Amino acid sequence: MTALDSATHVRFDDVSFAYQDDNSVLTHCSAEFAAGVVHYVVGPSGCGKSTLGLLLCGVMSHKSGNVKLPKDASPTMVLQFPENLFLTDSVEEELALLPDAQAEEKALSMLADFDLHFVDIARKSPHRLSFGQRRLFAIALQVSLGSKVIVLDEPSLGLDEVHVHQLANWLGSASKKGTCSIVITHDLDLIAELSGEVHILGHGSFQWHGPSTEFLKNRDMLLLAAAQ
Amino acid sequence: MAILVLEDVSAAYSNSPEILKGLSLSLERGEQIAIIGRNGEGKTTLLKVAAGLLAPTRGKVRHFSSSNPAILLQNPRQQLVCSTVREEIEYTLRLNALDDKTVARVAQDRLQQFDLEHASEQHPLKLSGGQQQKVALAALLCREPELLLLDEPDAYLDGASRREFRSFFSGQVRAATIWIVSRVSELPEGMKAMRLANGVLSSLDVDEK
Repeated sequence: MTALDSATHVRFDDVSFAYQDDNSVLTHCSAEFAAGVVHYVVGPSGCGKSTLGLLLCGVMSHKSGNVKLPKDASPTMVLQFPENLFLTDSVEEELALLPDAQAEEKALSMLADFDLHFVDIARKSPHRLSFGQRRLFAIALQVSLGSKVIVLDEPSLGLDEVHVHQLANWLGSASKKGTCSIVITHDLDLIAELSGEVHILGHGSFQWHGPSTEFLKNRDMLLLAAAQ
Repeated sequence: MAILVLEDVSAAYSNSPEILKGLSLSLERGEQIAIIGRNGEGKTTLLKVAAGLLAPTRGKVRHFSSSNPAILLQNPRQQLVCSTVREEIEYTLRLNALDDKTVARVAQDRLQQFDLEHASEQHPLKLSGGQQQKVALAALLCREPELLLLDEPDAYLDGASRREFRSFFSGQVRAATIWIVSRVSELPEGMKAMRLANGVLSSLDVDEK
């Protein structure tokens, strides 16, 4: 890994957030997500993982604290229910909405890497793709935008073994190129497939972070993350 | 005695090639099977055909239960209709024509069982994905159906909730079940498993497990 200065990192400094009328989701939450590394954010259902992603991408505003992003990062996020992002009636129209030919080419090549061939799906409604295919298509669309910071919310949900492997390959090569990938997940198969940094979220803030290899063999950590 | 029989069933979406190609399956009362298959092989299509949500282009689907099959869709948001978690559960119980007192008591039990009590007055769609899936599951199981069709029912759950759900399921749920998964690591323990590939079902190789 090449040395990358901290200006390319994503940082949460003492961030707090609550939804209206609800209890706090994040309280004085701090973390650092270095570029060039795959980060897994894990933790029990409802602990605020998706909220963290939405705050990072600026979809919602935190109440206090600071979210620091690299300059010109314009982070993107693949949502947990990715079909919420589809705007048109066909795969080709979705691709045509991308800002330029370079993005379109990138999305197509990524789809091919996932064994999703454009000729087979071009005329299909993205909603007519299978659950797993829909997820892969949404990932390809977002990733093609070329952001330096990408948040993926449960990207491997509903994917078969081959696709998990392909997704891990892609994440690995993107991080080698300096992308800061933040993967919200509870999928131990994915974490075992590609090593990275694990961050356990719980009770409003991060409880532990460390290498995924250490996480996977430590029963206390797995329990803390409600992963087992 | 069979509860669901699929005879030489083919299915396709409009203007697309057939995705199920002469598939046959007979599910006995109380029999529980898992079906595994790669993405896009037609697992969800098979479930929709079995539920009567999609008409086969060829072949026959026969149901032998006194109630409608209960289907859990892959996206739990598609089957949450009420404005609080408690109402969601109570609504399902009312469909079973229970009186108000029983509805309130059973709903409370279910909320506790699925660890949803703290979220009972929240809007289901404001919950996390895992919690939404729990609500959809809790509501579905309240119907006490004879035939359950589950499309990756615990995919959104964290590991601990998944383990709890699976232990509850194997201990308490006796309904005939088709349980869809995408990966071998997700197969429910001890459940007979079949593979869906090229539009038909086959037994799962021992070395695949």
